[in-house]
Amino acid sequence: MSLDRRSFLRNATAALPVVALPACAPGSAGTSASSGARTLDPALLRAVADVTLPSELDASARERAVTEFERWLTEFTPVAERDHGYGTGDLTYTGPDPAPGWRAQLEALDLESKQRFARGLAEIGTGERQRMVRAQLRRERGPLPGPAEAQHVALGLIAWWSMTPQATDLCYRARIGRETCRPLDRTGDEPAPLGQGA
Amino acid sequence: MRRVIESDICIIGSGITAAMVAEKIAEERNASIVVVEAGDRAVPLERRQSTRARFLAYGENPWPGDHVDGHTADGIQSRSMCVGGMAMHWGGVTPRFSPEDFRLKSLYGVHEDWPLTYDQLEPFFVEAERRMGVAGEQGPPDLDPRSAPFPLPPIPLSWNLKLLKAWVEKSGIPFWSQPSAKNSVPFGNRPACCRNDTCSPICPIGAKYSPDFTWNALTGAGSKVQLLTRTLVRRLVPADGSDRIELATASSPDSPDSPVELRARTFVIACGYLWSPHLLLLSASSRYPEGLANRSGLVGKYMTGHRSVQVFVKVPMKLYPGINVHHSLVSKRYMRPGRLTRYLRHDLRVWESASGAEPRLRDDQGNLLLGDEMLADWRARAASGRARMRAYYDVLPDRDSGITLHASARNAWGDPLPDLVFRDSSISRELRGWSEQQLRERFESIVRAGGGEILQAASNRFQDHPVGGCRMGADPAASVCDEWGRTHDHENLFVVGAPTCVSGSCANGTLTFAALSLRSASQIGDAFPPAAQAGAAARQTVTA
Repeated sequence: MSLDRRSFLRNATAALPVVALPACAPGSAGTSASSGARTLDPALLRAVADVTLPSELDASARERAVTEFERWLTEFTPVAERDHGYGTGDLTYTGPDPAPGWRAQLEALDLESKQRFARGLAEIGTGERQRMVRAQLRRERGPLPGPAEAQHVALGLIAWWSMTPQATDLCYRARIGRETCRPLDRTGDEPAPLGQGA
Repeated sequence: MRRVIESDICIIGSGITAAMVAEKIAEERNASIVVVEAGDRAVPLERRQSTRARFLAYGENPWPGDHVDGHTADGIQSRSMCVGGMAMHWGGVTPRFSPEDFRLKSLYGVHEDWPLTYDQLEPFFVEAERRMGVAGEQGPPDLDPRSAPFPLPPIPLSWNLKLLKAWVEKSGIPFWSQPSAKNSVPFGNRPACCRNDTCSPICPIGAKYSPDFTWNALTGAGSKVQLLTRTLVRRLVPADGSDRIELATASSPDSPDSPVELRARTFVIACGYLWSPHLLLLSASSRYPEGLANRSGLVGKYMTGHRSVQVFVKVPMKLYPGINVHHSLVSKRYMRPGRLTRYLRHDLRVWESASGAEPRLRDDQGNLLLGDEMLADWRARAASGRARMRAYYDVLPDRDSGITLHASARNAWGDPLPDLVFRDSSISRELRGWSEQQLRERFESIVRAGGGEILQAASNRFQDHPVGGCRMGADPAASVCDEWGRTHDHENLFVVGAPTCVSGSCANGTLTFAALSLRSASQIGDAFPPAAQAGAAARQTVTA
């Protein structure tokens, strides 16, 4: 007898005892089934990150941020049901895959750089690079969007990084660790200062 | 093919009130219990780290599949239909209604008194706190009356809340740690909270109580409690020549051609404020053309909740948003106001906040901020702390506030869906503007005393924690059920929890709904013998 997924989950759940998981068991956002094509040119993305993320992120911290952003994009699922909170019966869904548009924007920046400077985006100086990115974002207004709703890849990267616990820690120069598992009995302590090499 | 399931007690719905009723009766009585849930099982604990991760990363629903497609209401409601109900999403905040809530007419000359007092409900508050595992701090006894200590020590105040407590109490108003059904220490085979900051919508480790834990414990092999999922009860049917409910008819998408017939000695409707009266109205027949339990004409009426006024404040201190964002300070000073010349009661809560100090793309002059500029701008605005303060104030309902059957909208089974409209009573309509102005002035006074600046103030139109629709009362002409939740018209039919409330108070209602349900369970259980070693079990037959 074969079980469909729903039946399997139902039966599996019924058989489980009430157990206390390790409080800080790591969570994974999982992998989207169609994640293979959801990638950006790594060198071009890093060229943009160099001029959009704060310089207080040292090279390894910036590389970690970009790598995590790439993973976030890879695991994005278009048109997934969003959280529905109190007070609404409406169901809403995440938007379309931003990767094709973002990939095209990076390629366009690279082409523009070659036209203007006879060198690719990753080879030009950070001043020129930032001016080009600024020009791309000149029409952006309002609060930072959700990363997946960003109309431009640079904005997507900024929006994604800004919502990380690491960004909050850097802003406050303290180890707050927002949305991470932390002992309850340390809640009354002032967060420790952030060390070097954020 | 028709499937018949017989039990002593049939509970319709599997949310927090159903869990309380089932657990208490299973412990204390020898009775077989069938619990019928329209939705599916919720995501098991083992997968909650993953679904939480996707919620944080992408805003996805961390409870995928927690609703029944097409089964919704026209109007403001919270959509969740799964094992555990809306208490899978809840924030775990567990204040009690205050003694005044039960005597609004006697004390203030408004609305109506409940048919029971706070003192009569108090032992069940204690029991509900014990069953859920509430962590709390005893407030000033005159503001926070209770007969027993909280079962768990309070959630400790964070660095931010300690500073905010000193700040806000310069106003002369006492504040303390908000009680919550979150483990401050390991309890109920669940770990202590570790501040994951996503209590609502999802606690990834099970430190927050949710009803699925009760169902997992109650429904093991050989248990006298059977949980039937993906089964929508569509009608209750009285016996011929009697007002007793004989059976409930239900349908499942898994076997659409095999209706389910649930037969029981006692039926308990535990479907919350919306679906409980809806089921009674749906069960109309030639004998009961207005629906069941509705000789008063009040099924679906007198629904209400509480609205709020909220302010975001810049405070003169350095705070670190994100230490424990869901925990708050609370005061009940104005829930127990003594004599009033105009009616206004409200709670007060204070949270840490990052509002107005988030990263942004453009500064006030419209300059685009990238990299170091963005970080510098963020830091400058985050240099002073932020706090959020909110006051719930209660809204007294109009008779016609609530649900009717929708004229045209139908679910997949062809049954009319609810049409939900909240309406204030004339006195609440008249007082609304004045009440909200009073609350703004209260916040201004607090901020003047402590120092700081109100950055933003807003009134919320949404009525939170809705109640009513099957209100209790001593007079069968003016209520749907008695003080135990027993419907006046059908002696073996009970409604429990939020729908039975006469008024909605000005504080989160879940603990009170749970306490009312436990009090109902004590009455429901009286019809069955005390628990014996061998438990009764539901019986199932399949007939052509």
